[in-house]
Amino acid sequence: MEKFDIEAYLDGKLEREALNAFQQEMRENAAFAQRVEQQRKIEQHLRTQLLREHVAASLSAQPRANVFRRWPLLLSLGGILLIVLAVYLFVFQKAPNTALPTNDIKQEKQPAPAPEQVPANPVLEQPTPPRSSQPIADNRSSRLRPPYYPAPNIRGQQDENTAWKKTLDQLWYTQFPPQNTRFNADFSASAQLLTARDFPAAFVALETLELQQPENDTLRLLKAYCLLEMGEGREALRYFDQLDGREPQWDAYLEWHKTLSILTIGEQKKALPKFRKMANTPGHPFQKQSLRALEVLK
Amino acid sequence: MAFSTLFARRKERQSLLVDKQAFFDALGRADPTAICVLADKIAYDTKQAVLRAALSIEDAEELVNDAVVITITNIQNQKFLFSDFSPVAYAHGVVRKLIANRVRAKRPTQEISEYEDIISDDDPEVYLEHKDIEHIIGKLMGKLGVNCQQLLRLKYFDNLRDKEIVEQNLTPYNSTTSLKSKRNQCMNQLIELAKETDLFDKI
Repeated sequence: MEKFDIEAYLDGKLEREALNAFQQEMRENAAFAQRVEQQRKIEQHLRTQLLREHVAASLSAQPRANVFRRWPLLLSLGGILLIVLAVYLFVFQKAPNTALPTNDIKQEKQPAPAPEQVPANPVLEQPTPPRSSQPIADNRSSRLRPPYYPAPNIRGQQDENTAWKKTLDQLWYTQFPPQNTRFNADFSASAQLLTARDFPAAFVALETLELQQPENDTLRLLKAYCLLEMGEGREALRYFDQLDGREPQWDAYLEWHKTLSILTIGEQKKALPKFRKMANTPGHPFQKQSLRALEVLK
Repeated sequence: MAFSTLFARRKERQSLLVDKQAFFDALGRADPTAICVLADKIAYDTKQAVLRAALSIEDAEELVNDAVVITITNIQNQKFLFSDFSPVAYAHGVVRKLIANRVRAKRPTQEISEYEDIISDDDPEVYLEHKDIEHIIGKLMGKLGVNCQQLLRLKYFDNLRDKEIVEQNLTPYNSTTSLKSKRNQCMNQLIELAKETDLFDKI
């Protein structure tokens, strides 16, 4: 054992007498003081390096990462197949797409409402869904304008599955804010960020809000929409599910956006009957969008 | 067996997402599940931010790793306290700061105000300098024997006390004196290697 225990000194574990002797030696022996300093620096950087290696190892051991490492070929083939299918549908089944119902423009372009001072939950005016007197067959989805904004990249699939992304792009008719919904002052900043489609900033703002106030439906709705647009379908669905039956005015909105969430997590089979149901509901605010979705997905 | 393991892991991840204090504590322990949850939570936004900043997409993965390391380090050093912010939001702030630094390094005259609402108080340049140094130390560690690597890891990463190491038979040494003596030798060896590479000139 060496005369002076540098490790114990750096750990702050020397007794008073030993500490005094150690410090005396450092004052009198520059080489020793330098040696202590070297060990201090090595220890400090060694800790961080070991943590960094541990983080890298933990992340590389993720099941999702492994799946994509093992199956890139399979995913590429799936992507190619989807591209071929999309091209086939585009070439052989494209219907004329000229007129655009004004109702759809309104729905997609609805500006963010001005923040208003209202009670804790948003004021929900009863939406008046556009009741159509036309038969369902006339609600042709081919008259629907393509979505204004693309779908988000779905995590873990961005590079491998561009065709799936293109499919989602064709039916990504998300809407914010829900019709006739206004948010009180607490939520206006987050709502504005969502309207401006700055989802990372909105997410941070919502996380902060979540720490500051008790759980409430408005926060759940904003978070669900934000997560959906960030490609976090599963998480979005979790929040949407918590809103089930809470506000009847939101039912149609939730139904459509929950189905998109389901689609983003790759559960197409589960999403199809939901699209069919909305497509077969006269006057459903997302009826045409559902018809379009069924066309795209068939 | 595999399904039950996957199910248990998934359940653990979900519980971390629900209980933020547990998530924070798990990160402080560098728990692998918490690390994965945090990385998952910030990965998408990081990629989007990297694209917006016109940086290479390959940078995204490294930025996520760096943000996780910084977040955990700051939790352990108590520079980041739970009452301040959620770990995900904090890590987002770190990412933005790291991106701002990269943008500045690549295009010094470019407007980077988008990234300047920084949450953490770390200096990315210092972090990156240290990262280079630590990378070298990692390589030097690789030159030590497996036994030395294990001894140093038990102390400087797992933070185990000598008594615990001996009692749990984690090394071939059956007394704290012999354990400590061997570890001192390992540390001396590492310092000598560092001197040979002129590492101390950079620190």
